[in-house]
Amino acid sequence: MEKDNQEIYIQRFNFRRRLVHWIHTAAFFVLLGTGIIYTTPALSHLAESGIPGTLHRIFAVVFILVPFIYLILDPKSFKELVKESLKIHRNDIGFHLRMPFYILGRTEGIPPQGKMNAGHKLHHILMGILYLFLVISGLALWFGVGFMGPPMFSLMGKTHIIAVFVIVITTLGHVYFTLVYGALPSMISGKVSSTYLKMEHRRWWDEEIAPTVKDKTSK
Amino acid sequence: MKRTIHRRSFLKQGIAACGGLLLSKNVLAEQPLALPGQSAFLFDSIRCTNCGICERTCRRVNGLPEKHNVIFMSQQAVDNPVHIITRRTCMQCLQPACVRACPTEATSLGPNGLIGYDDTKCAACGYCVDACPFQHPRMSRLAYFDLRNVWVNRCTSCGACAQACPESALFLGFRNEIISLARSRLEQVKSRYPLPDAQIYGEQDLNLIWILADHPEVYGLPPSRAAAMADESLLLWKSVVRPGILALSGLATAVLGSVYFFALRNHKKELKRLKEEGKI
Ligand code: HEM
Ligand code: SF4
Ligand code: SF4
Repeated sequence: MEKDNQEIYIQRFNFRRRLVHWIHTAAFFVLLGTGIIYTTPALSHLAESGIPGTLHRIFAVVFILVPFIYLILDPKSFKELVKESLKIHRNDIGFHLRMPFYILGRTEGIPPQGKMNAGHKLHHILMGILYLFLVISGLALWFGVGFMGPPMFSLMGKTHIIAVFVIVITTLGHVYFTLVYGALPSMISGKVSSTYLKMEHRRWWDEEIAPTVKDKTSK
Repeated sequence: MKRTIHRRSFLKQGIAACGGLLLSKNVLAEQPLALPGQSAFLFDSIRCTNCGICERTCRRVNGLPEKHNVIFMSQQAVDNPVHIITRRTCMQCLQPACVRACPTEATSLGPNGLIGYDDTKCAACGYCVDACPFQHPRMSRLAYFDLRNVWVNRCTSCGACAQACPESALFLGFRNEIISLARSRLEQVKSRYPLPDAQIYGEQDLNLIWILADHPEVYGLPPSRAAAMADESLLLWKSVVRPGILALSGLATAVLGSVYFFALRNHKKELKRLKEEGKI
């Protein structure tokens, strides 16, 4: 796996983990696209066919099933994801304090990050919370028709759309950092370069990857 | 051309919306509630004999499927000298929550100020069903998988029921005339029957004006302003949160989209520098 003399590539995510990521992404964007039709006056005539509403419900089922699909396909990675996301390290504070610089493409001053950086952790925790809000309000809007009455309907509608707003902003940040720091390969081929790791996930590199790499090269 | 104007006014709406709910509430309060050519229905519950002709006429004129209906008449015997007869259908709110809730304008305010419904535009989302404080619209939750064959049972304000009523208990006409008719009939009722609590219902907030033999609670009717309250709770969602969120999301995307190019340049520079320094 060598290239440019010292550049080596490390497997970061396995195939099943990437598959779950893209199922989640596909469901998310179909839900967003069909949902936006309801909120945008210039698009709302598209809802008349009834097709966006039906697609929204079909992909809502996929979205709801994502954690279960993950758990069935790759329980080990799922457990790792949950554990790592909830394990707060003191370097995480430094990461968030340097956020304005990180947004501008500068990593200097950010304390070394593990396999998951503090941003990923926040993203995953928010995803978990928003999942609950979206599923509860979405299912209420779906199956609660005729049972809610105006106050509950209004509450569920507001909950749904505010959760959508937070998830949209979170996803926007997620996609933005992926593009700025060239992180897409980790979800496509699953492999990342040692340069990328040394810059973005230094703690992971130093503590777990570098020793194994050295072992291999010394052999 | 048209679209840019639309977008601009939409953005403005979003900004105004962020400005605050209070403002929009004031605007609403200043609006004259009833339009000049405003029509209204009169339901005289004392003349009504619960014969069911209005229900049957509605079903026939509107081609409603078997077992579907949009008018539900009922009757209860009480100690009064008259029966308590209730007409459950669209109450024709002056401030209709269903119209605000509907994303496609399938439910709309017609030129006569009454509520219209166009089933070819209906997406069967069910929003109007839960928005209505009077539980008028009804639909099956399974309708979503029936694509074009959706059916929400709701009044289209066609007026056939009023035409059919053999007892002159139901009228469709201009609102001001309907109200004077209601007042003179109430006087007659009071002079004819010992009904001290007979009253007019809906004068403040409905275009279905009732003549009641007793208090509204006896008919299962909510206190007045129920409709306006339902509409105002939707106002925050539909007219403040929605456009505000849409505008903010667009803004965030635009800002990050432009910052992206600077960030990418910075990142490449840093990458080069760190490599030269031998740090990565
Ligand atoms: C998790 C399961 C979800 C369920 C069960 C669900 C269900 C619903 C339902 C029933 C509606 C009413 C409109 C309609 O008839 O289609 C709706 C509206 C909407 N949904 Fe979802 N949804 C879910 C997730 C999502 C996600 C993940 C997004 C966006 C990323 C989203 C975005 C929207 C938007 C923008 C609306 C319009 C809200 C409004 O009318 O103001 N939904 N959803
Ligand atoms: S809210 Fe209900 S009662 Fe009022 S106009 Fe709409 S459907 Fe009719
Ligand atoms: S069910 Fe039909 S009429 Fe009612 S709010 Fe939805 S689109 Fe409008």
